[in-house]
Amino acid sequence: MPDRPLLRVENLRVSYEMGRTLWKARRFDAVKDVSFTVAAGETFGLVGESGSGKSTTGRAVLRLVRPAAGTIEFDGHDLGAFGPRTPRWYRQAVQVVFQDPLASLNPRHLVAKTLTLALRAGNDGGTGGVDELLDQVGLARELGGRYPAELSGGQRQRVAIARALAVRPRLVICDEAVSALDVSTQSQIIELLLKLQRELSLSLLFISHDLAVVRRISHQVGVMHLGSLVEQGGAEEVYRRPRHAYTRMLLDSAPVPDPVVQRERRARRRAPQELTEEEA
Amino acid sequence: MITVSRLLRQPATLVCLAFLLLLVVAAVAAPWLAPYDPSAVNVTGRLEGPSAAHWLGTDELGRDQLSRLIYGTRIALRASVQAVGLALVLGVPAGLVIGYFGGWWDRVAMRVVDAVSSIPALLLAFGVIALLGRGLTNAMLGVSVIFAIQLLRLTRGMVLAERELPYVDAARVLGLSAPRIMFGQILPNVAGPLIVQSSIYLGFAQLFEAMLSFLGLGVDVGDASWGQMLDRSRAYVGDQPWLPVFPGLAIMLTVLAFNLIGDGLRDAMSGARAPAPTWKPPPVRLVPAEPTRALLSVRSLTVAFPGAATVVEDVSFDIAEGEVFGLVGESGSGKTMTALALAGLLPPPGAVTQGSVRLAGRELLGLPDHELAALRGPEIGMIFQDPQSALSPVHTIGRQLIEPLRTHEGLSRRAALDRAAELLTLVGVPDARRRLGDHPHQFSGGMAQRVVIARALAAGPRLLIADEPTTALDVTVQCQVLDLLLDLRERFGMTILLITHDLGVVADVCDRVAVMRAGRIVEQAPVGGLFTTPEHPYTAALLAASGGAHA
Repeated sequence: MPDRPLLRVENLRVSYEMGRTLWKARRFDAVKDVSFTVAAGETFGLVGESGSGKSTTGRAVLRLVRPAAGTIEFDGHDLGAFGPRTPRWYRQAVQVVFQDPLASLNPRHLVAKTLTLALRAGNDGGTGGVDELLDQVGLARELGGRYPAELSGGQRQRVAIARALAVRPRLVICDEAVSALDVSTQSQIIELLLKLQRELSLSLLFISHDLAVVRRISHQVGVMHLGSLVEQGGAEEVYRRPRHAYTRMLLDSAPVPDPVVQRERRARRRAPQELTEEEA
Repeated sequence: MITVSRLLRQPATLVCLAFLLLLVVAAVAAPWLAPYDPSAVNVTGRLEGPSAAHWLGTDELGRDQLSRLIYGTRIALRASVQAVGLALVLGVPAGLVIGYFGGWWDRVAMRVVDAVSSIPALLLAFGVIALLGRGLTNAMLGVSVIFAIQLLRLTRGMVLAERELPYVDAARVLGLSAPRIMFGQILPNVAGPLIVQSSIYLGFAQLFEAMLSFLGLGVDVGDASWGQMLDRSRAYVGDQPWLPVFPGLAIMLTVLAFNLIGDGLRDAMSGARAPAPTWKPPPVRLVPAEPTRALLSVRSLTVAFPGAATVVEDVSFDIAEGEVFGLVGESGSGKTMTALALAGLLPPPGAVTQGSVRLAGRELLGLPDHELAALRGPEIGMIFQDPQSALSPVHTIGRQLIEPLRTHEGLSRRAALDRAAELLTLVGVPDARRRLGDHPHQFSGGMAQRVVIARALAAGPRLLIADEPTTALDVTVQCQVLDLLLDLRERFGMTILLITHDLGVVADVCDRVAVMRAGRIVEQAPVGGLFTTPEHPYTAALLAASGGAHA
């Protein structure tokens, strides 16, 4: 494990304008005081419910929103020193895969055109072409001649991943990248991400509300709640021995495909007073 | 490409396009087509009616009306294309920039737009003429400015929506420059409505040209313009009643053609008014079913859509009174279609082709629509995935809750409100009485789903069909809503058909479960058995794929 993390986020705060009077804007902190690191070649899973600030954190790293405070460092470079225009190298180093694969592909562009645009954006002596990209994400080459609407959800998400890979990034932010997919498709995409991580030693910032998926793919996990990172640590550690009450509640709420476990949990929920005694 | 082929299937649009083509040919080939010189004066043959020599007659100076009409096409088309072309060049890029960058740009620009929009187009045209002098080009400049402002507003509105989409974010993350994102990525996606609007503006521009020429502010007196012909005809209409007819017709038909093409384009692009399917579903073939003690008994249910494969095929299951039965499958497995078929809510042109659906012994298939409608509520209640879209945003919760109570139970307004408050308390909405006056957006996702459940319960259904009731909710909220469903079953013996893609939810609340794939039930078992010893390989694969958290 390298000494310096690839991505270091420290005391990040992001606020949104809620509404404005003529003089003053009312602001709301979507992310408060969040710190974590992503090691090179590893996956950091950011899990939380809607409104927890997990996507906003990702958008700050992507420089799609401007932080109100805190620092983000990528490979030793402070993003705060970038100025209004994001340098080209950073745009190539950090890429994103969004949740809705249909909305994240331009509906008027053929798959090949989407990928060509991405390749051109990152063109600095790369040898690969559209066909190689399609091979890399396990899509048939002739799918390049289709529109996004003519593809299945899983195929679209593969195209979105191929587009991200076109510029040879070092960190890919997956913002609910498998949440809109069926479970069997989900598994295939996760397998693909794991394979790509191995082959290209990619780092992933994997943002999801789905605890099971995050556990499967992450080395480190952070749990977000109402804008704060309430707990973080090694994935197995957090899942097996959650320290924060919110993490425990989250883990207990997500139903697992095992009727016996679910029956026990329900019994526990119905008798909260016994639980407190047990804990006491 | 789809748009073009759809367009060619609209007869009205085709006729209009043909008419437009005719106008273009007339304008280009006017010197060859016109039988006479349009300004050749013939004092002996003035104010003649239509004849073999002069098909459309002659005017007060004996000039051939047909020739003038043909030459008038040039002015008409030139004015329209000029006005709209300039408007597009000015308005669309400005709209793109203002919409994309937003902020102060937007605020300042939109105030200017508001100010200019308050000036009538004709008045602005007068102003431009006063400033720059008479002439068609100057007159149309004023009209152009108004069009440009409106196109700017339209473009900006669409860009505001479009720039929030992830494909634009993805382009930004790739480092594409702002102009390339605006013109390369966003513009193609907002072009459709702009083309439609431009087509309609072409018609408007034609009207303005005619109007300005009619008022003597357009073309020079010598030139042939439809508006001007109409203007001159006023003085002589007593002597020759045919005079205003043909220029009037020309203006009307051209404006109509532009507008109809605009309508056609809009329909073609939105896919609206697609040719109605001529498929007449075959009558339901009722399957004779032996009597059962189940509350709901479904036999060999088959649902078909014209052209497509059968979406539900030979589906059979029983649900006992007070049972929670799960129907689980991935998207496209037919689980939702099955549920909709049970409630008689299949989206047309889908139809049940065979089977039997009996609720407490009564056959539901083949019942006329009004009888089925009477069953929904008191017999079958339904809740859906997205609670916010299941509630009407403009009405209070109270009003939406008392509606079913008054229709089905015939309660008075006062009694219905009391009952509605009771129902809200029942599903765990705190401070129910006061919240009856709230609108749906004032409820969180979980609370809104409770309201939807309360509404489904209002008429006291025997069977509750819940289609992905917790999929749109956070896990902690999902947990509470599922607890509520089980609670209802315990207290009222409610029978629940739960449709879900989530095996965790099935394990949590269902007694028995059927696994659907490609329209068929591949396995049906009590919940305990399905999870420990799945029989069908597909079930096993599904379990393996979703077995993350406890594996």
